[in-house]
Amino acid sequence: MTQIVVNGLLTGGVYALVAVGFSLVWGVMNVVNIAHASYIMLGAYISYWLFHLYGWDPFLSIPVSMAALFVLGYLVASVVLNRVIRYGLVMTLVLTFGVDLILQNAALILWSADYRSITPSYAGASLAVGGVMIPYVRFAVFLLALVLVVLFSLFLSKTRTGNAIQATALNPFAAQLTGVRIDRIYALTYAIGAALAAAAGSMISVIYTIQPQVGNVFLTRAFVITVLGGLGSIPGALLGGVLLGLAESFATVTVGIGWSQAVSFGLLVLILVVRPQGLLGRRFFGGVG
Amino acid sequence: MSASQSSSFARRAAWAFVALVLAVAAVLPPFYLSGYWVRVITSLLMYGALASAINIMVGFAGYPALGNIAFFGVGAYTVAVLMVKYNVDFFVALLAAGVLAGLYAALLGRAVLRLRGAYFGIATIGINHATSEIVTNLDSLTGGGRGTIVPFYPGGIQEERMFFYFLMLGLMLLAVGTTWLISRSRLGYGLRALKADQEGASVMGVNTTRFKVIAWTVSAGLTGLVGGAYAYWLSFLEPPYVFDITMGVKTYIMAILGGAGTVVGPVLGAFTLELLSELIWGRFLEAHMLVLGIVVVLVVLFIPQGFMSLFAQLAATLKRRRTGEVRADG
Amino acid sequence: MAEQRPAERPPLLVGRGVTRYFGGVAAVQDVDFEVRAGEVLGLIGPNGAGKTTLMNLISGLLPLSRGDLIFNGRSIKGLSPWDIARLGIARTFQIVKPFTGMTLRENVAMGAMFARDGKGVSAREALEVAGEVLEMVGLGHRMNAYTDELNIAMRKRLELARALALNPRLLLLDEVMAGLNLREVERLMELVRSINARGVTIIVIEHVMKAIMGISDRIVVLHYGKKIAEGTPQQVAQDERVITAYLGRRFGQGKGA
Repeated sequence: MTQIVVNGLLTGGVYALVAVGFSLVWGVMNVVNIAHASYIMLGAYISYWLFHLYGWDPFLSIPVSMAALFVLGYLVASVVLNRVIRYGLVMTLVLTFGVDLILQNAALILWSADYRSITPSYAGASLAVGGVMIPYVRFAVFLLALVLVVLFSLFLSKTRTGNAIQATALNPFAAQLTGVRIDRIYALTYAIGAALAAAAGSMISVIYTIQPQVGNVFLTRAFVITVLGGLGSIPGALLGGVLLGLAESFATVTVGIGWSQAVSFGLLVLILVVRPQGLLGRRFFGGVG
Repeated sequence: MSASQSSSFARRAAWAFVALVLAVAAVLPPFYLSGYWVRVITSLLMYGALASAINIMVGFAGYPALGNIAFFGVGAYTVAVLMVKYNVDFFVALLAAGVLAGLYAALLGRAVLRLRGAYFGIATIGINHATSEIVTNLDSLTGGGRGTIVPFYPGGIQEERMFFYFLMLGLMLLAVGTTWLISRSRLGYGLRALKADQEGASVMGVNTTRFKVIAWTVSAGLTGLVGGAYAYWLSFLEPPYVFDITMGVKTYIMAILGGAGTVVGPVLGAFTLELLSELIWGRFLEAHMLVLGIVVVLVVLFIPQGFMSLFAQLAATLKRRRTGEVRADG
Repeated sequence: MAEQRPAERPPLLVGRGVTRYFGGVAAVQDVDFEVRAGEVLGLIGPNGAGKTTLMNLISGLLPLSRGDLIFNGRSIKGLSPWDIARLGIARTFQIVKPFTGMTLRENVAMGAMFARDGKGVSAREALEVAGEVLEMVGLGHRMNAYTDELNIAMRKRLELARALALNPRLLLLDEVMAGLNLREVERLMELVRSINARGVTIIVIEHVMKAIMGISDRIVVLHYGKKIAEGTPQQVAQDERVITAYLGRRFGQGKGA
């Protein structure tokens, strides 16, 4: 029982990190960023290749993958996404879906569909506390994910840029009047979202086997968590991540691993219909009628 | 007066000629083309039907049913299960596929159609995944993740080709015909009105709840029929094949590319995109999906209103040029 | 006197204790009113007085928190907007809601297609009716134009035409004259009078004082969601509470008339 809770909590941390970037882009730009899946995947592959080719520890390669994806994200936003953002959420969703197809299939062509994994020397070790097994790697990932989420939260509340992003999320028009350059804020927000996805991807590469579609299942979780926790809400993403981690952990034990996805999606649809503002957050842009 | 009468006669004759050419063009391929091309065109027809079906929701009601492919999967598995487990005749199973998919939408509709815009779209994506997972987990019935083999078409290869070609042609015509009927009916007007403004439509006497549910039911029913036909054609099913969100978004893009809310636009969009991706598929097997991604991005960037809007703009320009003098003094 | 109800003028719509809360705040509170068949009832009050909320309650877009609405002897409480529309209550919106992507003719045909006596009216027949209604409001020459090609005055007329195509017994007009110039206002007043002359009962919200005083048989004044006065235009104009609550301030700023 305790083991189930611990497992749920540990995965929940990564889920939260995956969801934060996704939720940020959705909350600030009103863009449902399907390409988030590819950014996670690319982050994972960067860590994989740095480990495989140069022996870099995956934890050390996190800044590299974040920087790389920050640049890619900035480019995608300023070159294509910003041009179509005025067409609304559905069009940008389709656009990022196209970007995702491109990146994922490029990865497939370059690196094949083989499953790959990183096995640093400390991979198998774990800590036993009163009969509960806590793998070191998962615990480190959990802590690091929390640290990143907290740092990001501080960035939003304490820095000028962070404040500009928040102001844009609340009211792009008013933000523009106060001299904020919306297109730049959007590009920056999107780039940060991609960088957070990359960090999550690097961590995922240590825990799971990876292949070009590894991001998809995490994207769907980011979806559920964002809807669960409320759009653009960091505490919501944390809470949603941990809740989903726990729910899946319990579902795996009780109804079998096969049903855990069905449970997530059932939950997603249900929450959208019953409580579209999420558990903590504000109402969605579209709302219900 | 007589001038306009003769011009309307000429127009009608022109339409009749076009229709004749199209009819001949539609019937001939399976008799003259190679097996490869018959298969390609059969798949064009299938996508034409799917794009038309999603268009009823996207183009008329204005609801981005991105996950509509769920009904394709439901239809496919209905045919598979009925034929494999209960030895039901294909056409009966196909009918059941359409009905079941429609009922599924009708059931979900009242709750899910309260969501507007993209939130509806996201909910449908969720429904697609949840349905796929349910089908995967009901493995005593559906074969689960291992998949299921649907009985083969009893007949020779040539005969089989013909069968599926005309089956898909029939389904596409059914979808386009249904769209055409809707576009001229109270349902179509009501849907277009609620697409523009739900409150405005409701105080004009449009039962917006019912109309939305009807539209989704029809759209899902058609999608389910095509899914059922696909199951028989493919003869091997796995949940990821038929609950494929990529395929769902592809049909959505087709409808937009051709012109959402028009009768023939989605078919044009489907033919263009599918032919393009088939040609690319032939050349670069691996890059197929990558190129599809590029096409998707280009469509959104450059023709977000679809082909039909290009035609409409052209027509408007021509008309303005022709009636320029009249308007100048009016 | 207008408010003495002649026997041949039964009330078409009666409101009893009509109340609507928005999260604890009463937008409309305990309003009793009657609209007699064939009359034009003006509804005035300062911004935020609850006029539009009252219209939304009548047309079913908002549910009542308390009270009842009786149309033609039957309670319409809890009915959907489309049911109410089919009973013969049509409305316009202050912020016009044209059906974009449809021609004017198609916009107006919507009314005829779904009207109370429109059971079974095909789209084609409705389009013919729409043509006649558009002629009547003076938009006949723009029948096949799309709504985004119209100026504000034309949009207001379109809004009116659409409501008329429903062939209503009661017509709710929410600021159809706002944003129009003086000449357009006069022409629209003429149109409203002629619609009324054909037997359509009308409730009208208007900020243009000259218009509302000119076309209303009676006026109800709302202030902070409550009815503070009711009577003929002359009576209302002389009512102390009305002058302090509404007219005084507006006229004092020289914005009226």
